[in-house]
Amino acid sequence: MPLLVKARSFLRNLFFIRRVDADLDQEVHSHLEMLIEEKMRAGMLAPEARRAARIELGGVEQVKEQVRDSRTGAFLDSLVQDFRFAIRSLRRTAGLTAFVVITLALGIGMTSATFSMVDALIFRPYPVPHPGSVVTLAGTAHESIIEDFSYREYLDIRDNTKSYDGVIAYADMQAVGYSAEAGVTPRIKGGMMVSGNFFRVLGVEPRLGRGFRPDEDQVPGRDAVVVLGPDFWRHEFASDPGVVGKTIRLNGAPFTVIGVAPDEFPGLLVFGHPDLYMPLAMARVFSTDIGKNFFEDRDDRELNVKARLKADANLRDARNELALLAKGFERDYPNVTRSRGAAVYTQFQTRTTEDQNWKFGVVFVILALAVLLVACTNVAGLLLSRARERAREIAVRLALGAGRLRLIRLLLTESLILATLGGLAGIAIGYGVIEWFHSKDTIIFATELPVAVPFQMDKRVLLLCVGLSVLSAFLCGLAPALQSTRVDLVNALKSADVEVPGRKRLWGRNMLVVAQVAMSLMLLTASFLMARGFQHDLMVGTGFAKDHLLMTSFDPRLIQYNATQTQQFYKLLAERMRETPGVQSEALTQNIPMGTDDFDGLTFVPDGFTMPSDRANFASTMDTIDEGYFATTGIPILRGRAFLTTDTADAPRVAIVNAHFAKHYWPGGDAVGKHIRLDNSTGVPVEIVGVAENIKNQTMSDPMDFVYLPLAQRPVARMVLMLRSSGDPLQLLQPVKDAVRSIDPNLPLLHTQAYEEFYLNQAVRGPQIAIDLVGTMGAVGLFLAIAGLYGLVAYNVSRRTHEIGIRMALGAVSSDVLRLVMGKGFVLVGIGTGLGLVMGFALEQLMNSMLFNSGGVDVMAYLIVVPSLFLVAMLAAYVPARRACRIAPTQALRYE
Amino acid sequence: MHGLGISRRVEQITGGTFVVKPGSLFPALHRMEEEGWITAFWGESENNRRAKYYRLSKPGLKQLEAETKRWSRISMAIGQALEAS
Repeated sequence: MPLLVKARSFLRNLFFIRRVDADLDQEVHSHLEMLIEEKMRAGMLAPEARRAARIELGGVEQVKEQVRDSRTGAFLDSLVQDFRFAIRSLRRTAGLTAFVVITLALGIGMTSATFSMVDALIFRPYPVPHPGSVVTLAGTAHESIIEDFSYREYLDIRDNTKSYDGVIAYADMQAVGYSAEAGVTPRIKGGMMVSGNFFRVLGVEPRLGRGFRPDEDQVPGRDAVVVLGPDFWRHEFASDPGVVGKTIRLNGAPFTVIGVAPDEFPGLLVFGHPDLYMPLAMARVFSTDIGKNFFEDRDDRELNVKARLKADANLRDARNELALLAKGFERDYPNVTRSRGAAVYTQFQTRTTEDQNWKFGVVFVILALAVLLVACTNVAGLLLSRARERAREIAVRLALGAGRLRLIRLLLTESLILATLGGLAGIAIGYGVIEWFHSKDTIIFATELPVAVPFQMDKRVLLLCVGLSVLSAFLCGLAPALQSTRVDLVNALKSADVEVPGRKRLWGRNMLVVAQVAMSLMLLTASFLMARGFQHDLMVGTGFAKDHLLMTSFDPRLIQYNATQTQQFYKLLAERMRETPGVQSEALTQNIPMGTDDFDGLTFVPDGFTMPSDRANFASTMDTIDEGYFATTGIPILRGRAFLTTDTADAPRVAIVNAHFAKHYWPGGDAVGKHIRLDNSTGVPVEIVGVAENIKNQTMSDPMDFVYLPLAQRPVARMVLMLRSSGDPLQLLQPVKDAVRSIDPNLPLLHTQAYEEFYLNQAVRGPQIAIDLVGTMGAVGLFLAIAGLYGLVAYNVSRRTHEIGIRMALGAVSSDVLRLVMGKGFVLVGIGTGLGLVMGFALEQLMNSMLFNSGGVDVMAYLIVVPSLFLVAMLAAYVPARRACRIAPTQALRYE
Repeated sequence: MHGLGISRRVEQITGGTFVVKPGSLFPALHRMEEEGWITAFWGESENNRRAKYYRLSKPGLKQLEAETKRWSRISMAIGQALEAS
């Protein structure tokens, strides 16, 4: 009840303030009248009584003011006043306000846009109810701490753990040939095999139809059902609500649509949004590895496993439980599980482990924050010089009894308004930058699968914007507010110029100059390093030819070819292609260099090696190729031979390794003629017949172990055909289509383009975007720093015009004055440079360790950046100093 | 009772020890009104002048009792403390 009364008073004070005030006025006046009457009754004359009454009352307005101050919501009232006043004074200096707002907006916009990357890559929760309780269960092995599980292992984990409300599994998103009905050429869509409890455990309710029933995941190959992704449903079925129950074809097999996933659930992946969800039990239709049995082989590890932690379970128990289980695997199946462990990761741990790209995001955010800091020092400098011009106004206010705190609040309100405007504009800039990212979508992902740049302005990013605005308001507002309210009243009132010579005064602005130089130096060196790092990646050769190559992929599983038919098809295709005019050479490869798909892994034991007891084999990445591959791609064979047509399925098994591999396992010796055994020391022996030059297989980073196996001896379903042309590679398109049609008209050509074009998108334009981004930040930082530095130094010098006049009058010559002024600037920039070098060096070490591994210090960056900043500072000091020297001493002395 | 009346009454009861100036009286009255301890209304003074009157409300009475109790406890405690020393 009392609270209600209070709330009513508050509202009344807020909305009916005029009536409340009028009431107060009447009350105080009637009080005065009564006082006068009382005095007159006591025998005073009217004028005397009036005087006495006024003295006793102590001033009508003062009493009213005291009542106002004690009212509920008085604080808010004064805040509104501050706000109005601040707006008025900002409007008076519109130009300055605009500059400050733009400056802050650049800083805040850059930061929010780059943070949206980190947010998408790390922080954004899974789009499911209670995402916090979803954890990742992963295997650990020698090479990595986040490994997939096999189907058998998943079943064991699902059935033998007690910490979870459900354990789900899903395979990576893969290319699936989709056709609405039989006889139509299939198109590639993104499909994901998931466990039967996938939707139920995640708490995702299909928007149409139903999720999988538990029994639909029991019998391999029995239940051909599919749940559609929301985007797929919209685009392929025009949001038809009658889609449930329809039959579609996936990789040639009929599947019944049972449901459509809701819009809120675009999937669990950061980038990919699956079009189709199929039960794991249908793996035979989708499995990529022909050599392994998905349902039986414990080392056919294709599944990501996630689980929902029980409300009363804790992570530590869950970890122990899973580790124990993994020990059991190792004990029971030593051949396929030697020295493999298991771990439970939170979302944060998962995201930071499985994909290292977030590190770029973090570096971008650091750079953007540096831009923001430079912007803040700029604004602080501006506000400081403005506060100086307002010193008299502030002195008057202080003299009239305004509290210092109240004035600081007023000034902070001003900077808060500036920062809020800056924040709003910053959000707009952030949106712009994110849109720009989106426009590069197709460049960043050169793939046929449904993936998208996930960056967006969501709650967390907006929150960050607000936080940054408030923070920058304090950063750039507090120091000027504190300093300008600490004036010497007597001096300030006497003259317009309150410049009190003293170290403390100058200290603040000197600090700003130093901070500015240091910040921008760090920013510039970092962006230089980034840009040069990416550039370096682009400059070093990849080790293979990229021009005059046409690529196109085939996946005969899409039309239900079996292994023999597939082999037959590729053999025939290669023959036809070799006969085609304009084709210089032909190659088939499972993966193209620098492609989007991951290479297969190969486990092996080099013959004659005694393996350490804790591991059964080594692992390497590999590719399956035909005999035309090396000639077509121009990868040199250093020793031994390439594959030949005689390396057939019945011939002794052969392999070619890259130079890195050869040096790794046979340092100093010749790898040619040696054998490796597949899987373990009792496996099939494979002879190494050649050593190929290292190339950039997958990334621009250091070379990795690589093994090539011949297609004839290791059949693969999905292959890429590469053709070397004598002219424009795209001219071969029609002949290829004709040839394929003559073999089987139903087989689609996938992902057909000139290899060079693909390579540019994949490996060049992506880094180029990063270079652009970093370059933009560096340029904005430099621009702000130069503007700020020039402003600060020039302002500092121009404040000394008076002093310079005196010096000149006393006989100083202009060179003395110049030396004096420039010397000071020199010292400040020098200190800033020192600090900036230290910070830049630290950041460089961090970036080197995180991203480029190039090591060393980028001297060029410093050679360009340091002198240019010095130059700007010197120029900024020189111009006003020169002007000060030129004017006559008499004028300078009068100068205010 | 109106503002002046209250002020005079306090002066009278305390034998002139406490003189409540308008600068303290009005803020206090308005705060108490906002708390809901007293209610205000406009009325005619003894000399037919419009004046704002204040009256103790029910929650105000409760508050008064509580405050009185508190005060007597404090004053007793202070009295005892002074006597003991």
